[in-house]
Amino acid sequence: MTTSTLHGTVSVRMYRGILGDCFLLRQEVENKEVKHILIDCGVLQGVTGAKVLMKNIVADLLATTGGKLDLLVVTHEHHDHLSGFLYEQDTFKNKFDIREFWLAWTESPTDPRAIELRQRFDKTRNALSALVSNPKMAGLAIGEKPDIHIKTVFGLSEFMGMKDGARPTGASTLDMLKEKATPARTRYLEPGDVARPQGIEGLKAYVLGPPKREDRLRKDTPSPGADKEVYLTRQEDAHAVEIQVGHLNGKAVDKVDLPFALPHQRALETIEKRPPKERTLTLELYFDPAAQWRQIDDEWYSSAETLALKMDSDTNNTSLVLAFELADEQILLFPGDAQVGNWLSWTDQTYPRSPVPAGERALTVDEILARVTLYKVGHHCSHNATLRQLGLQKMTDPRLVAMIPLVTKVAEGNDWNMPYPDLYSALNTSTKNRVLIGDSDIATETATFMRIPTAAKNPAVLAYHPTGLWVEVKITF
Amino acid sequence: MNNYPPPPMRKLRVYAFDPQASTQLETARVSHATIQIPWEERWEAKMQPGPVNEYFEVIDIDPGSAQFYDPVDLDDRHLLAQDGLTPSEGDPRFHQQMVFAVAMKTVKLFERALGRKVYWCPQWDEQSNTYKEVRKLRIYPHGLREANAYYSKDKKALLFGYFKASMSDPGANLPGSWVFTALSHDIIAHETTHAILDGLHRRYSESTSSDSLAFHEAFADIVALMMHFTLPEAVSMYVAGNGGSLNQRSWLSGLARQFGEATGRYAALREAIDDKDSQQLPDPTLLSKVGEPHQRGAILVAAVFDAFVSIYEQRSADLLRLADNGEGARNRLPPELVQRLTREAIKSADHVLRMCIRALDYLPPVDVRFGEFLRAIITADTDLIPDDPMQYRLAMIQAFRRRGILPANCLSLAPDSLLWEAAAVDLVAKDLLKAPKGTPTLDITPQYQRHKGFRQSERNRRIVWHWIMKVCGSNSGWADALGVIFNTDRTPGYIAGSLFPRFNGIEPAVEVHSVRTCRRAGPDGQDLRQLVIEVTQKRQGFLDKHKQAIQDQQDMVGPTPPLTSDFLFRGGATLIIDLRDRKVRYVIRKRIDDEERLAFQRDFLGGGTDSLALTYRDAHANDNPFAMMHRGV
Repeated sequence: MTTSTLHGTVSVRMYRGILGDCFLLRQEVENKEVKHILIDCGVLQGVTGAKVLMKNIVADLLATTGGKLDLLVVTHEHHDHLSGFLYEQDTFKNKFDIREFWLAWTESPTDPRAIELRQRFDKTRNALSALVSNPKMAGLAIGEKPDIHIKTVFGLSEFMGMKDGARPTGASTLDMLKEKATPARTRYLEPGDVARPQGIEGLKAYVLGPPKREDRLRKDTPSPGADKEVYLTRQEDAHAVEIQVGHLNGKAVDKVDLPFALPHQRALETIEKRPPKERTLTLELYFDPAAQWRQIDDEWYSSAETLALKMDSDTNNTSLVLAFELADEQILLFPGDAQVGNWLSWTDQTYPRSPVPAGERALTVDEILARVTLYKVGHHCSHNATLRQLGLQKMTDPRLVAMIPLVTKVAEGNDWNMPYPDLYSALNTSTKNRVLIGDSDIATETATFMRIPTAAKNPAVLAYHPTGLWVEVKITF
Repeated sequence: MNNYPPPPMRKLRVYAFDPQASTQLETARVSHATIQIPWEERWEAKMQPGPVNEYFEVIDIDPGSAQFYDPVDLDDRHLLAQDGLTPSEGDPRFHQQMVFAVAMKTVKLFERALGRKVYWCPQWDEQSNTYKEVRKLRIYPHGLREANAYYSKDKKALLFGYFKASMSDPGANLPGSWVFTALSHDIIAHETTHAILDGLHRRYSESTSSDSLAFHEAFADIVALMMHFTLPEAVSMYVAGNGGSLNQRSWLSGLARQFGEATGRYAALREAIDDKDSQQLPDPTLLSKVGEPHQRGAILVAAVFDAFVSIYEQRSADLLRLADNGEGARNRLPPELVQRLTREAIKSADHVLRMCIRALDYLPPVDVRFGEFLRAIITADTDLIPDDPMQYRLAMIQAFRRRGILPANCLSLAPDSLLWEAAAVDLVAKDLLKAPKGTPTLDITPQYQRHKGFRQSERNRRIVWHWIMKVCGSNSGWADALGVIFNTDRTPGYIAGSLFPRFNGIEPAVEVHSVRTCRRAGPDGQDLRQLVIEVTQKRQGFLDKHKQAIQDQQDMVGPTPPLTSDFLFRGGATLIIDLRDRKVRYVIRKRIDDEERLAFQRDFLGGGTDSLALTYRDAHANDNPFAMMHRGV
């Protein structure tokens, strides 16, 4: 039920200059206390001066909120959404008070599916972590002619906080936050929930994702690839990568991991050391220096890259997707980094999901999308984190504004396709050029916003921090 | 000392189906098959342990488990006496035997259909700036530790993977059991076909349109599928079980299931074939709606499969009528009838396969499209078999039409209109085949030794190139036929600024891509002798139209350095020359100055792909296009 008598503003603040998400929502209603919602706080490792940036951002957060967070949301366990809490953990532990903490059901300590999912992810992360900490692999990823597969793995490891051989930090950061907020104030949200923050009046959030269906969670790309039908259980791929890295570290393969029984086993080490008389023709052919270009010892790099990509994508797909509804039925959509499967699953339920409590009307996702006036673009505007036909094109409200937390220079430096040109121009079309990006030219952006305001009456108002630390969109309801 | 005559065939046992099938009752009887490959000729390389022969080197190194398994010696008398090792999942030597047998069978199939030896794609050598012969393809039966198998163009090798079926989600496999892609007849045939096609048309692995990579996959699937139908053991089981009718659903569900468990790729195929409306007709608009290579390829495979089914039905119609005492008799066919029907199915599969393989010579050298494949099939078949009493060609045309695969620029779908065009002007390759005194002649004597044949075709390439430079520069009929540009004259359609110069720096470079002779025998004693010449040229392509226009108008070799291009645009032609009267029969051309095709490729490349990998990086020269597709990233 919306309280139609409530009027006020919600200011959505996007912190700039970081390849990462950090969004502060401030709800100001006449004669009432200002309420603060923090959604994610992170910067990617590879951004220069990341820690200093984060220090400034957290200082600004402290100053603006006075240490009081009425609601904290963490969408998923990627470094560029969590690292702020890690770098500034002392400040967070001592100077902030978290009234309520929302996470996706995938983080629940008691849900059996969540536990199983986390176990699977952990196995893969460990395998990749082992790879990234191996010095030979590190050598391959840099230099003049890096191996492109290994380089991608290293690039992706930044999203897991594993740069320079560090262990993945996401889980421990989340644990720290859970402890700070205390279990009593922590909620694990499921799709179809309609969550109302306890301390904030006139605001509710529809929980669109992450999906509970396995096949939706697994779906990472828009096209229906034929091989998606067979689930290459990540365990196997992760195990294979672990074994390969084990070779590099001189670890012998476990007997149970060998495909053939003892009579047929021929360890490579022993074979290589055979005297010339006992060497078979095939052995000679393989180790012939003239045929070195045909050796296959490095073929597994591309499967390691595939593993890293799928892991990254799967984690993104477990993003908590929240559609905040303001008192006048406007919707602010924060999908985290949800990928295709997550988006597609939004049609699997109504909001609230059935059985609908008496007196409430269930909304469909189309109705929700039609009312979106602010869209936080997923995954830094990469190509498969925004569904076109079934997503962006359904956001038909003329007041639509988009926000992209991105530093194009960093993305380009890593050869990442962000912002994806096709998607970026589609966003510009849908929002009539009202797209706010993390490294824009402030003057140009302000001018564009003035040119085509969101509405004739009470348009959205832009504001910038004096040094460009953040940009804020003030929406009236 | 031994003067016994060599046997005509070497027999090797393989799994007809996925080994898991031998644990299921209904397929247990037929899970083994025996493949026959011709015994090595006196002049071919001897069979050695590996197996290593004239065409392949099977090297069983397993980097995933740090192992190097012993090679199998197929000439050991114990193995010769029992048609090779007994099929076994637990003996790596049997795996070597199986990949070898199926790969050789595929090669021999192509050689029979094409009328000449199969050569692998040569390897580009950076240092000497030439192509080096790759005499033997490598096969690594346990090269990867993942549920994948692919052809590596870089290493000129087939890599087969293996993995442990999951304990919690194994599909039809035994939980925790080892699954080897090297034991799948279909996967081996599929990958070998990639290698063979790459040897015939090495530019087809370049991604120039949504059809290009799709074609590679689809063709490999077609060969694997049709080869499956040449296994008598597999076919007779289906025929008996289905009362002689080859209704798609029942056939394919069985096949697709096996493929699906191993690779998952046939899911798309299953959808394509089952995707019919209430009248059992497929959706002809589907092709225009899908862009993803697997899906597009699946439509092409489905079309060829449709044609195969029609042909089989025609061939077996009289047999079924003879047997038909009433509808009820259908499900219990007498064994002799099952045998006859099996023979018809095998024959139909064999014929369809040969039609598709022969068509490969009638395709352009670059940028192939599905519609062109149809024209190639029809032309190749008409050339060899002018009379078509069983209406094979109509079956093909109808199947393609039903799926919406239509060639561009064709007046109608009548078989005559689908034939490739003859040259605009009557072109006779006079000087080529009977060179005046002093100049080297084209050598078209049949070569029985494979490596000599390769050297002969290399020599011929050079001869043809010299001849082209001499004749075609002056005669515009040839230049028009070949679709390439020979000079830098500033005509209205000038685009030489984006072409690459020859060594002499004066004219644009033209490459004689390949020169092959083929000799084919038809069923009624037709003897077809042809010379197939492929000529190509490359041009700089720009994603920005204006940059393209600017670069086009420059001097080819001028003071301003050329802009860095975004992609390579290729053009050229395939000429089919009849060796009997030396006339050019067909010209299959992709013009280098075709602005529409250039715009099409530009749009395709600029449109981006949905690939997961390409979120984080651009396509790289070292990317194996076949591997990336099979991994689904």
